[in-house]
Amino acid sequence: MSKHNSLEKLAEINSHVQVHDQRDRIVVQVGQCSASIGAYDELESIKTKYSETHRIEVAGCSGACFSGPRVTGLDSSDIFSNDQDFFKSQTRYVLQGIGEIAWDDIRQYISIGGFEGLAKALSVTSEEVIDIVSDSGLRGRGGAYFPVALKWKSASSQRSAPVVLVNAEEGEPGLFKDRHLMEGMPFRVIEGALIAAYASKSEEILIYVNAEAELAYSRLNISLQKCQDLGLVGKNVLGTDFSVSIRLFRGAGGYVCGEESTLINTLEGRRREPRLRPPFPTESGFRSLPTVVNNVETLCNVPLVLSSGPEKFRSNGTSDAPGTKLLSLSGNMPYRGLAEVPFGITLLSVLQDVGGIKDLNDLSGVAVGGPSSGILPTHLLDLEILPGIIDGKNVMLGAGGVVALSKNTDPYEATIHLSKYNAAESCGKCTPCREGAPKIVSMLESIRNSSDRSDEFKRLEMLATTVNAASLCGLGQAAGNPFLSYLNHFSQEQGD
Amino acid sequence: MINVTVNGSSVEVEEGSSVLDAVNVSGTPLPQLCKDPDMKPIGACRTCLVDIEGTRGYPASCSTPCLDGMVVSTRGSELDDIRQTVIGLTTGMVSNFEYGSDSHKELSTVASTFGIAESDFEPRQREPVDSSNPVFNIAMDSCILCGRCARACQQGHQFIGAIDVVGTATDARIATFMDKPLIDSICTTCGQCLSVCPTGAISTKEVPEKIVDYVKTTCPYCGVGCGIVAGVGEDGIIQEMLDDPDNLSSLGMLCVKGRFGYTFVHHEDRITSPLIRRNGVLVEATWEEALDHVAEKLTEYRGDSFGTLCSAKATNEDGYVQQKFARVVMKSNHIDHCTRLCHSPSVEAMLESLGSGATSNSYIDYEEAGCLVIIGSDANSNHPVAASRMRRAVIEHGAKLIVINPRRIDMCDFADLWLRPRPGTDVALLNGIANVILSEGLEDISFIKDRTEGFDDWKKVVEKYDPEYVETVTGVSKTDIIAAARMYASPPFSGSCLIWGMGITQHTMGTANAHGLLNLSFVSGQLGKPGSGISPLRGQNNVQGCGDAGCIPNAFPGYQPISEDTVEKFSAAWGGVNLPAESGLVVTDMVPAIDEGRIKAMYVTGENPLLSEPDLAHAEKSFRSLEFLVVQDIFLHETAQIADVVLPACSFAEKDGSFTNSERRVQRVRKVLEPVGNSKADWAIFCELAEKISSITGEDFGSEFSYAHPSEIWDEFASLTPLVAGINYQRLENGGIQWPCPTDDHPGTRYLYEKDFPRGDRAKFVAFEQGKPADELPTKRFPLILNTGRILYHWHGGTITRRAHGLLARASVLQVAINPDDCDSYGLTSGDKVRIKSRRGQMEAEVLVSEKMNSGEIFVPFVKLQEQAANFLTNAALDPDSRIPEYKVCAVRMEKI
Repeated sequence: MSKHNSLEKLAEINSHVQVHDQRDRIVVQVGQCSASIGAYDELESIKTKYSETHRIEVAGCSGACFSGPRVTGLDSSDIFSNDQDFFKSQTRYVLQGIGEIAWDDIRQYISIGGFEGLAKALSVTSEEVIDIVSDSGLRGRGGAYFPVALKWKSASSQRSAPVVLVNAEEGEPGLFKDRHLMEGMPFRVIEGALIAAYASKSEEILIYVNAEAELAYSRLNISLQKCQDLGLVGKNVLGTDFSVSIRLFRGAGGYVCGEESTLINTLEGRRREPRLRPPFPTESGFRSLPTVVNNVETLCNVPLVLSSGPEKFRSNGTSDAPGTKLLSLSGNMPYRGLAEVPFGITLLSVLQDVGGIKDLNDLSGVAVGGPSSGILPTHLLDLEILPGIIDGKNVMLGAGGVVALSKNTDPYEATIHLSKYNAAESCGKCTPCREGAPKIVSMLESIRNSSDRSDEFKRLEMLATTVNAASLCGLGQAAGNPFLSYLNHFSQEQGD
Repeated sequence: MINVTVNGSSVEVEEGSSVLDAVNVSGTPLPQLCKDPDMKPIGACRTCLVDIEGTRGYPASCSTPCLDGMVVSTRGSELDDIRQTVIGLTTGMVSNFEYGSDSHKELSTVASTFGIAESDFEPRQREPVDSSNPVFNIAMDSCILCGRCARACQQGHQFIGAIDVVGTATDARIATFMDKPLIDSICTTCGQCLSVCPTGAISTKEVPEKIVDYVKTTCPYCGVGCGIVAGVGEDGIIQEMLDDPDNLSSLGMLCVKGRFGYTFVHHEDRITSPLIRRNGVLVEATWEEALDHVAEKLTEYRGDSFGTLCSAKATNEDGYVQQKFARVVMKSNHIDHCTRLCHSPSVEAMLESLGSGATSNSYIDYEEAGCLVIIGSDANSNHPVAASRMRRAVIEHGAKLIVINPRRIDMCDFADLWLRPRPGTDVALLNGIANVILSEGLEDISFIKDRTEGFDDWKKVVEKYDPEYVETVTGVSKTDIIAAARMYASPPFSGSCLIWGMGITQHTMGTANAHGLLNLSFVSGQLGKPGSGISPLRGQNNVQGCGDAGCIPNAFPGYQPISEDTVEKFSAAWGGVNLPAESGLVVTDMVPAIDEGRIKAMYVTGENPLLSEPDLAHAEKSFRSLEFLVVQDIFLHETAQIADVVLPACSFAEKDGSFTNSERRVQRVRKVLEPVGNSKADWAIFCELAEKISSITGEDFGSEFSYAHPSEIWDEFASLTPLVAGINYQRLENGGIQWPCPTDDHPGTRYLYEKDFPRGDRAKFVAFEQGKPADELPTKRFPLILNTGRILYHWHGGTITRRAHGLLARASVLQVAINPDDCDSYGLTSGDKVRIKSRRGQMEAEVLVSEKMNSGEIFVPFVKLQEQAANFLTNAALDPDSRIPEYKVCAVRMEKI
């Protein structure tokens, strides 16, 4: 069948799934976040009251976790109206539709442009898809910000057909963006993965879902089934020559499993520890096949890049860092939840305009980028949200976790806390991380109350530098960051 | 080749090298605690960090590929500081690390060369010592978790996987599955972990003395022929045995016997002086007395009344001189060795169908094969290092593995298919597999057409063996028979190898079984190309060489059959002496010939027939009836104890020579130490005897029995034997050579039969029908089938391994493996004692409840432990063609004691 039929085929599917229920909708947002505060009870009571008169649908969480469980359709408000402060400063690109459409309704997904990106991709060659994504400047959103097109190209030029591996491990504390995407828009995750597979000439997609992300897993599973039933996954996708299988896997548990080579090891049933590079996964990854590992957020950008074009994507963010970034906001701020902002915006404006923080004196600092990064003092919050290191030293954006520390939280204790996390999550393979990370903790703890810690800080600086410089994988190479950023940003003020 | 700069000097390394390789080539010292020279990098210790111009940070050189033009530096103030900190963290893992001493081997050296005077870091508390293994301990408080041991146990070398790095963060440790003590794990005590440990955390219980010399030689145990390096102390005693990474047969691996079984050399039981029986008692004598006595007696038995058994444990040179002595001096061709009791059916079949009797392929072909069939062989126990290479094929390369065995041997853990035929039904099974190959069109038509004969006659026989019928005979399901045929005849890649052992040969249908296997290789064309072949795995270290050297009754060296031409050739070569022109008797026919009074004197070298013969009680009676028996050996074993004269021989460690292994690789044996006591090399004893006999009889042998060095013996052997004509000691200095090697510039031969066969252009199909499964089948009185074989920790009858304390400690009592259902019906549990009786004798053993056994079948290894041995029970019924006894099947009954 010709490739040019893919758009027609999509229209055919769309007409096939049309339903003609004209009743008004009530949409209840159920995510792992809101489920824990009673979303299912809310859903049940709404069903009892309104199932005769209304169509009751379940959507994912819009990101306003602070005000869940949320219901729309009972009055004239839309999902944004109650919390305008939180939403108005966001740029919702990859999150569009989440919270609005039923997560499992493929018709609604198609109605907002879903699978258009896939159909367009299939109407051109793999190489052309890579060119389009390359034009957009899309980089990976898992924390390393590697150019997506480059990764696909590298994998597609190997001798064997590659495997596309969706990294939905998201094991970092304070991070919940991928879960929101999988729960709220599972079809977009699948569509992104399909395009990635087509572009990199792969016929096999594996999705590796965090072991605790129960809801994300089950929704992906159901959505995958629907896609298979409609010919969107399997043999001759959308009537083209492109055939692909998708399988879901549960994560093996542990922060380090998000590290791509560790993820591959665990997927093969091996010990959870990183592999040596080279070879890189794009050369030899899962079962020694070339492997494209893409983060969920990354892949959710892909269908939109295809359907609405790279220019639209580039219209957000900066020229070097185009597009938006999902930030997981938590800690001491009024609006805790998932927000999407363009690259280049300052951290301060995120905290104030989106997070709703009024007085910076309520904070002792802001931890950005999770345990592999560090804590920024309040006077440095005008730094821009950009890929990589943002303070010129040891604090990086990572996957976009932002935790505001209250003024009652001592940044020193928070530094110990982050360091402890790194020590505990070390896979145990390499000496600097396994042995060094816990020693950072024990030394910090032992000098907690010393009046003069300068000598100890010198030793700690050497130790943290060594852990970063000598460790095997990205996690170990960042395990010294919490201390080093404390040293950079807090030790002067605190008289050290 | 690529050029790089290391610390300012230019270095040339091969393409594909790592930066660490380049640093090492440059001679620059750099710590590399987790990098084993013959394993892939692990990248855990992080001590080999370097600075590379244009590269961010300090990459670990072990895992960084070396690129042309790289500028590498191993020093720098920040780099030095970081490395010192890493080394400090590493030494901080070791409790009681002594700075400035060499107590922790490689780590101590690294600490004193690159490290600091003392670690800044508090040592941390670690797990206790696992001392459950009788040979070595694992002490976690000296472990730096470099992972080399785990790698060596797994993909790095052995593919066993008994230990691994378990747990995360500071809970990481070297452990077994479920944290069981090592002794209760699947550990085979091969000691590969110990050999790679850089800190001594894994170390032998007995601390070796200072070593003054290392000597490369060849392992004296099985036919795999592993390279070993003996470390000798100042007192001339072997202190440790190391593996030899340069050896192409073993690739740096050893098993428990090779690494820890050497202590028999120094055992107090070594015979150190000649013994002569006087007034019924063996008493010490001088060599002069003993040799005079033997020479005088032997002159009475020249000709047909003399028989000799050569030793497959001795060197090629020993065997060559012994058979020459028998033919030239004793005028007898009654020369044989233990091959009669192991692979004679294979050899018989191969001689008939191919024209030569040897493994056609090399171990490397196992690794490259797409399908391995292991039938009637417990390679894990008997050829451990070859088995590791088979596991590599399966685990690393994805080869298919078919195991055919009534017992669930350990190799079944890795198998795609395990066929479990009823004992003695192999002919039907192999015919059945061939039947499927033909009916499904999987045969190699051009191979059959161009390179074989007898196909049509054979096909007629095989056609009757359809899978349904074969299922009823063998008990193997039709589906499995079909699956096996498909896997073998059309492997997923490369070719297929057939590997077999005593389970095929030690039957009254042994030769038929071997033909069945050869036919399979012919019909599917799995012969004469890489990754394919036929492998009778040889048992003894030099059983291949012993046959090559002519220690068989029907042929001269190099399998040159006794005929007018060859008698003339060898007579001329050996000083024009008269040689007996008739083939002699094989060992299993010598025993009846003793009974008949035909053979009156025997000379047994390095063999213990009174432990290895079937029906031991009968064999002992026969040997006692000999008029004169000389035993030449290293221990006073069962046969030596009834001898008239016992001559003390040197062990492999005390002489020069060569062994030829199962892949036809001739390898040097080197003298490691001076002869123990007054022992002498076998060849030297025969030379002296020849002189003595000459002086009595007046027959002049000229210089036929005077050799200054074993190399002269080899050269004579090679000059008369085209197979090995191109091999000499000088060439062997650079490693072993695989025969055929006809000329000085021939590189040796990896696999045979690429173009033709020794018998001509065509291999011959030979058909057999399934006969009676065994000579002796279960009856009401003897309801169980006894199967015999070996276990990993003992060698054959145990004459040697009972005197290697490490091995004895791992297996000190004789166990009988019994199916759990049978245990239930007999009311037995593990550890109970049972008495097992056959029509010929009885023995006692300890019960081992084992799911590896089929109901109705029991297994006893034929090692003799605490005076109990399975061969008191076995049946002396012979395969009509090869004259091998049926060790594998006899009927027994069992009672609880």
